[in-house]
Amino acid sequence: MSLQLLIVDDDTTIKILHKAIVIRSNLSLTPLTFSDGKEVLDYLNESAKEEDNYLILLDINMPVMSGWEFLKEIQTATYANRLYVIMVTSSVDSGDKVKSETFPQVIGYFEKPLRVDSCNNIKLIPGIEKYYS
Amino acid sequence: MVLKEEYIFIFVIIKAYLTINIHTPKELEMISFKELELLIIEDNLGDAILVQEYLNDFLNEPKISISETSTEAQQKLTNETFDAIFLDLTLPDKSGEDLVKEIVSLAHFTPVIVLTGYSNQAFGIKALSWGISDYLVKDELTANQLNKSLTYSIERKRIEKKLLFSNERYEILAKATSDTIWDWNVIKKTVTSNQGITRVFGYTEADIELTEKWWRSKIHPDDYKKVIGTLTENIATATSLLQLEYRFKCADGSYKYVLDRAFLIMDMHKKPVRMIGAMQDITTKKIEEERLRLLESVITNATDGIVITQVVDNNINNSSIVYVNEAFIKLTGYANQEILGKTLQYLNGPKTTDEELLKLKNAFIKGESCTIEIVNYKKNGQEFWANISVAPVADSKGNITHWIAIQRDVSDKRNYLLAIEEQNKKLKEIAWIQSHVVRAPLARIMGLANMLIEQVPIEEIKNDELVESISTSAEELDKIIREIVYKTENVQNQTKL
Repeated sequence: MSLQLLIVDDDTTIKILHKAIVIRSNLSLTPLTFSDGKEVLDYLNESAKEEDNYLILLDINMPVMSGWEFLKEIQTATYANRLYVIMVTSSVDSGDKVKSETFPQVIGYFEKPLRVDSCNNIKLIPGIEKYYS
Repeated sequence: MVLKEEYIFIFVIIKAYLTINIHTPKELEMISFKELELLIIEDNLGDAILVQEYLNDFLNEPKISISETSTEAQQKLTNETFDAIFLDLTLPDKSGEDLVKEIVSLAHFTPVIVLTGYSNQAFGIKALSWGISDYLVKDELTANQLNKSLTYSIERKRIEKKLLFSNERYEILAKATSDTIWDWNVIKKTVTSNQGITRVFGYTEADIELTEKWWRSKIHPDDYKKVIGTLTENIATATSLLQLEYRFKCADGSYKYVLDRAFLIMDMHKKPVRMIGAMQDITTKKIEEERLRLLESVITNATDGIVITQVVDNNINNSSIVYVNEAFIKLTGYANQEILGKTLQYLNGPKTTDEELLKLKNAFIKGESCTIEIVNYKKNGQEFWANISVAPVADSKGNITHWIAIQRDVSDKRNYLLAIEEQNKKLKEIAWIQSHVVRAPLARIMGLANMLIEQVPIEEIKNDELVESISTSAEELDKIIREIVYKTENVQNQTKL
C-alpha cells in the first residue's frame, strides 16, 4: 500500500518548482508531473493499480481540461475512492475554495507556490497522515 | 372685527360733524313752548306771582308749580320732571351756595335760572360754574328778559344733554377700540388722543406732548416724506378722507406698522381746521404678510417644479392642479392654462412604471407623504426622470384639501448613476480577471525566491534557466499591470461620455 504523488499544472516553472519542493520536504520522492486534467486522467485510466492510492496536487485553470472538469470526470471512476486531491491554485477567489469542498476527494486547498512547510502541513491532513507516520 | 372698526371710525367722523354744527340757528326756531311745566322756588309770594304773570304773557298755558321751601322743592323734583326751574337764592330753610348746588344736582338736565333780589355779579358767575343756566336780578326783570332767558336756557340744556350723551358714547368707544384715535387742531398745531397712544405704543402720560411736532417726530424717517406728502396733497385738494400705512415709533424706540384712517375737516373757505384719525396697529398683519411674501417667493423662485393640487369632491384620489410655479413650467414646457385643472398623472407615459404610481396612489389613500421616481413626459414628448415628493395639506378640521408635489428632474443623476454602476461592473471585471492573471507569474517568482531561500537542489533545472524564468515572469507581470492601467482608463473615458 503506497501513496503515489501526481503534480498537475500547465506552468512548466511551477511544475519543476513543486517537484523539487515535494522531494525536498519528503512529501514524495518519486512525483509524476502532468500539464492538464486530460493528461492525468488518461494516466489514471490506464495505469491506476488496485493497491495504489494517489495524492494529486491539482491546479484549477489549465488548458484542455481544467481542474474542475477533471474532478467531475473522476466521480464515476472505479478508483475514485483511492484519490486524495489537494487544490493548488494561483486563484485568490474564496469562492473556489468553497466550490472545491463539494468534491469528496478534495482534502486541502493551497495557494501557489507550495513551500516546504506547506508540504509538511499536507502530511498531517487526516486520511493521508498514516502514510507519513 | 373690521366692521366694528369701520363703525368706530364712522362714529368719530359723525362726532366731528356734530361738534362743529352745534350752534345752528335753525334749531332754536324749532323749539315749541307749548304746555311747558315750570317750577318756581320762591318764599316771597309777590315775587312768585310776578314771575308767573310774566310767564303767562308769552307762554301758551304753562303748567306752573310753586315751592316755598327747599324741602318742598326737593320733594317735587324727586317725583316730577320740569322743563325749567326758577330759584330764589334765599329760602327759609336753605340759601346761597348750598341751596344752588342742591337744586342743580336734583334738576339733572333741567335748566335752573336763579332769581335774586340784589345784583351780585361775582356770586352770579360762581353760580354759573355750579351748573345754573342763568342769573337774573328781580328788580330789573322784564317779561322779555325772562322769555329770552328761559328759551335760551332750555335749548342750551337740551343740546348740552345731547352732547353729553354723545361725548359719553365717544368716550366708551374710544376706550373700547384698540385703535389710537387722534384729533389734530390744524390751526393751533395741537394733537390730543385716546389711551391708544399709551396702550399700543407704550408712552406714559409724561412722555406725550400735545403738539403736532411731537406726533410728526414719531413717524419713521423712511415713511415721513410719504406721510407728509399725502397729507399736504389731501389738504391742497381738499380731500376729506385719507388712508395711509406707515411706521410709528414706540416708547422703546421700536416701530409699529399702522394703518391710519383720517378725516379732514375744513371751514367754509375750504381751509383745513381739524383732522381726526384712527390709527390701527397692523404690525402683526404686516409681519405675517412679509412672512407669506417670503414663503411665496421661495415657491415662485424655487428651482424645483412645485405643483399644488386641490382635492375635488372630497375624493382624495381625485385632485386637480390649481397652481404650478415657474420652474414647473420651465421643466415641462406646459403653459399655466394648459396644466391647470389636470391631474398629476397628466405627465405620465408609456415608460412610467406602474409600481411607482401604485406607491403614489396608496399615499393618496392613506393621506401620507411619499416620494417616487418615475419617467415623466414633457409637452414635446421628451422623457425625463422625475423625483416627485408629495405631501398632504389639511384644513383646521384635519381633512385633506390639497396636495403639494415637488418635482425634480433627476435624469442627469439617474443616468450618471447608471453609468457609474456600469463602470463599477467593468472595473470589477478588470480587477477580477487581472488579479487571477497576475497571480500566475507572481506565484512563479515567489516559488523561485523560496527555492533560493530554502537552498533546494534542483536537478532538472539549470541556474540560468531559473534566472530566465524570473525574468520572463517579471516581464509578464509588467505587461499585465500595464494592461490593467490601460483598461481602467478606457472604462473611465467611456463613463465621462
